Amino acid sequence: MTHTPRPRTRSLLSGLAGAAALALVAAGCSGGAGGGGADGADGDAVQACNDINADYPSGPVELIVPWAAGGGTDGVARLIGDQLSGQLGTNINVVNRTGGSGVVGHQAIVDAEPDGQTVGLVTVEIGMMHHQGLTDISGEDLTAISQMNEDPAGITVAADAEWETAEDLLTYIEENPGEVTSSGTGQGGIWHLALLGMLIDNDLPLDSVNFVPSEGAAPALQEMVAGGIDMTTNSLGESTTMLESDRAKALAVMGTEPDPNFPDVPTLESQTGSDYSMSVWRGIAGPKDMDATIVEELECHLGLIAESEEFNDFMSKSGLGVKYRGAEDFQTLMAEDDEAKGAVMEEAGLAK
Amino acid sequence: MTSPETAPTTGPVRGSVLIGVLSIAAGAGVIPYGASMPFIREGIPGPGLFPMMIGGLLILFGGLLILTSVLGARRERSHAARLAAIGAPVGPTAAPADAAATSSEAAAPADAAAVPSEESEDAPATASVLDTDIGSDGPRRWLNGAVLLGSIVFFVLAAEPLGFPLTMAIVVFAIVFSLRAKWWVALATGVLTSFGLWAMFELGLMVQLPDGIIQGF
Amino acid sequence: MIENFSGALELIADPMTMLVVVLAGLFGLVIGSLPGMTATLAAALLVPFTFFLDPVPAIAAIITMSAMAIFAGDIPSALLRIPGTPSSAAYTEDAYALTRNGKGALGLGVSLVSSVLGGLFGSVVLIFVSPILGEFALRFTSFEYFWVAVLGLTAAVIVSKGAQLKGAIALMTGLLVSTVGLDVTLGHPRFTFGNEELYRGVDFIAAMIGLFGLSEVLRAVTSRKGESLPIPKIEGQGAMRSTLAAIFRHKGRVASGSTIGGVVGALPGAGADIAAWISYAFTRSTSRKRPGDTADDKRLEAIAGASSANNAGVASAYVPTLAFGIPGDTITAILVGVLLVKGITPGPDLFLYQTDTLYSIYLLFIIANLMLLPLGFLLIRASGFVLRIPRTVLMGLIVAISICGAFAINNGYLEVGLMVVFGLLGYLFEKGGIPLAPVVLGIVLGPIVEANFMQSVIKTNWDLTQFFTRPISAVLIVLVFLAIAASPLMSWLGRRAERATALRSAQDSVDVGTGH
Repeated sequence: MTHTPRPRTRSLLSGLAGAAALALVAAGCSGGAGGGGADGADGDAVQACNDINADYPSGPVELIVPWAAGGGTDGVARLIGDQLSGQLGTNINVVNRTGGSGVVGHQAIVDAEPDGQTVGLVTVEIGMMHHQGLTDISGEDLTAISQMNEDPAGITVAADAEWETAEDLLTYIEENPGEVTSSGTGQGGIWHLALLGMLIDNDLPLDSVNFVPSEGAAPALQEMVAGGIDMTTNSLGESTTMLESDRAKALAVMGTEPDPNFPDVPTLESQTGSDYSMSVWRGIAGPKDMDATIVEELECHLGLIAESEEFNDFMSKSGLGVKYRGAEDFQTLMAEDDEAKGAVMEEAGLAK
Repeated sequence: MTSPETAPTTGPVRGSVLIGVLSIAAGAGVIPYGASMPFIREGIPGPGLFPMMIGGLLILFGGLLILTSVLGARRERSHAARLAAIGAPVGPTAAPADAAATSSEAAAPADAAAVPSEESEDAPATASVLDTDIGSDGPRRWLNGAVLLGSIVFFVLAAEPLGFPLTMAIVVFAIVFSLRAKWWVALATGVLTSFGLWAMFELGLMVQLPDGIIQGF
Repeated sequence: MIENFSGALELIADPMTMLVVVLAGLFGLVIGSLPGMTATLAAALLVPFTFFLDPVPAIAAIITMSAMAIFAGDIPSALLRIPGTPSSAAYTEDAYALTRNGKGALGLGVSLVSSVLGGLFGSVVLIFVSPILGEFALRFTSFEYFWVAVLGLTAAVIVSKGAQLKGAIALMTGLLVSTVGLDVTLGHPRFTFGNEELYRGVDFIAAMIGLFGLSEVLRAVTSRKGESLPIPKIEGQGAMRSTLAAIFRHKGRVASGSTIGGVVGALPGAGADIAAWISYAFTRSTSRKRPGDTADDKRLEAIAGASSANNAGVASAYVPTLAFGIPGDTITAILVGVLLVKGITPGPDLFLYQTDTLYSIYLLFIIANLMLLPLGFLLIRASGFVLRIPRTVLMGLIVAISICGAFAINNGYLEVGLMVVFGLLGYLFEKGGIPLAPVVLGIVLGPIVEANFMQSVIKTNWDLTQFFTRPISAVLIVLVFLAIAASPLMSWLGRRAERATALRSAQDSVDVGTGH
């Protein structure tokens, strides 16, 4: 700090920033249990994956996240990026491209060069936003690599609510149409769709529940606990803290089987006989027409990550479910999901 | 800044009237746009409600601004006239100006003087500061402003093909050079700034900057 | 309680934790002092590192970093007129005016010490009244949020200082800008002109850099010869003493600011941003004229009030987070994620079973705020170098850093372009004497006001009476009306009285003259 070049504040600041960041890395690696991602998985298996395409990757890989830094999706992406970086032996840069209910980020993934140097974390919204007329892109414009996560929608009500089961709630809705208010996402968001789908499947009119748009699950839960609304349809993982502090109770999960993190919460099917299921999923995909060997290599790595203790530990503690599907199955899921969501949105008048 | 709503001269009044007119025009433009947006249900406005309310308030405040500045000017004039009629010892033009200045000071005890020239009286001695006057006279001023904004627009257009380091160096060089710095100072600033920021964001903070033609980081 | 603290102390006195605290603190200071880089982004960057850390150091990293980054945001605000956080935009004009008057170090010092005191007060609130305050905050529904946000909007009346109508127009401009993007009720694109990038709306950071920073550079480079005033360098020694004197003088303001910050900051979602504005408005509107006070003293007073509220709000944003697991702002949202990963569930269990961790969080708050004092003073001293850079070079540097900051918001060029648009807007607004701070206020609070209003009317089928009949709402409404009515009424009465006295004294002097 004694030398005096002219723009020295800048160099001083950048030096400090660099030093702080580097030292944090050092501190993290020395003090952490388990260390970096490379140690998490079996070395031979990782090497086998890397051998699939010897030329890949050439330089750092960009991982586009269509949602904001600090959110749940971002957390998943950063963990995957971190583990993938250790296995591939290159930097993975997580780049948040937010906006327009995910349109901007998904568009960025579609527009990227299909050389594998840019991939993205694709979310369930890819199959919804083109029905809303927000964009033209859909799952068909992407090369699926691996699905990493799936969470079914749930039904959460305030702890002091009069309903004990989903059956009670649906009966109440039928007898008092328009009285119950629900939230969880913005208009036309995934949890709004979950609510509408449930109503349709139980032969209830669409306007029998009053949907109040919110900025996400957390504000919706706060509003519910404060008495502003009656129920939310977000995934149970998002309600973890509210459920554990006994301010809210979970009535049902809209999946084919109970959520492994919440084994005591029954499925909707077991209560009402409606086999309706709706879930969010996240997965890694790249732009269309990616080289098959690159897809195979990434799929191989992601498969190892999905099995790793570190990933599973993180996901279950964050209230997120791990669900792995390989490239082919994931591509099929995107297509099927697109169709199913389109049907609900069509019926609900959300499609354009 | 002296509050233009109370200033007796006609310049600020004209300025306020112009702002008022622009505000009304903006409001008048927003309302039909808001009205064209879809409703949530029959009779229940949704997306358009807020823009329309804001548009209405823009018209209201614009109108009030015109009204108060015109009335304020008239009141100050009649006040000055009354003072003059009594034959006050103070000059008829100086008195209301003083009154206006003190009253606006009373309304806002610490009026932030954003315009530098008005701050000059209480600016401390700055002779000790090694500094350059970056002001210019004549059309050069507007050229400098155009270089500043133009160079940022250039960054937006050129960063992707040329890459961050090169584009940023050109931007900084252009701005510093336009302010009459020696060419080598401008060049050194451009190169050092560009490299320093690149190192800091790309390596230190792990923010991705466009690579362009320089690959491999 | 004592044994809890000693257990917590053991957890913290680990060399690893201390190292993390210091490094995260430095990291926060650097990030915070860069225009456009926010504490939220810094927290997101820290998350991967926390995977490898034990729970306490992981929490320590985020808490220390955010406390530092929030204060460091005041530095570009005072030196370059680029506010670092939406709340520091409330007093940017004051801080920058102080720097221009050669009192930059004093202004920043007051801001630092009040931040520290506010932060400590917020920590005390967190430690002792979390459960009660949290319970209170949980009773806020969209109706109450709507009124809190409206109360925040009334700060525009105060920051417009004697140009209220122009301030109102500026506020409307900001609110209008905030409606850009997909709307909350139907997801309908507004003012996007077919551009998908605009769906996400106008980022207030890009707008702030443009409105304040770029417009200032634009004014400097287009100034006439001799008009562009050099900025006096920051005084080094002696600033500490005058800072402490100023703080002592305005201790009442620090206390009121901390209280406002402590209470308003505890409201999840909106608190910390609104707190500084409300406190600024409160300080300004209740400021008494004391003999010998200069405009600069008033500025210091306002800064003391607002920045203490700012940091108190940061600490008390953790109240709902720790008590119920409801994130108070984006940083605490990230922290909740980190806590969950570390096997700590925020909520009543934390208070019952994991008291060591809980108390180490408390202690970390106190340590972080105490550490802010020396590190902050060092940073203020170091930042003085910025003003020694020749202005031609400085202009280039400011533009370069602003571009990077705007770019880093979303890794895209839209924000850089918006920065240019807002730079021009800010330049024109200042030419017309329109205050800029209300524009930022409108952009930040617009979405909160609109979303909560629309939610309220949707869930009650347009039963507007609910806005007025709820007890907490009623109190807030009274405050809103007081805030709106007080200032213009006072200035109108003042102006009338002024004119009357001028007339009377003129008459008197004439009478005296004729009496001879």
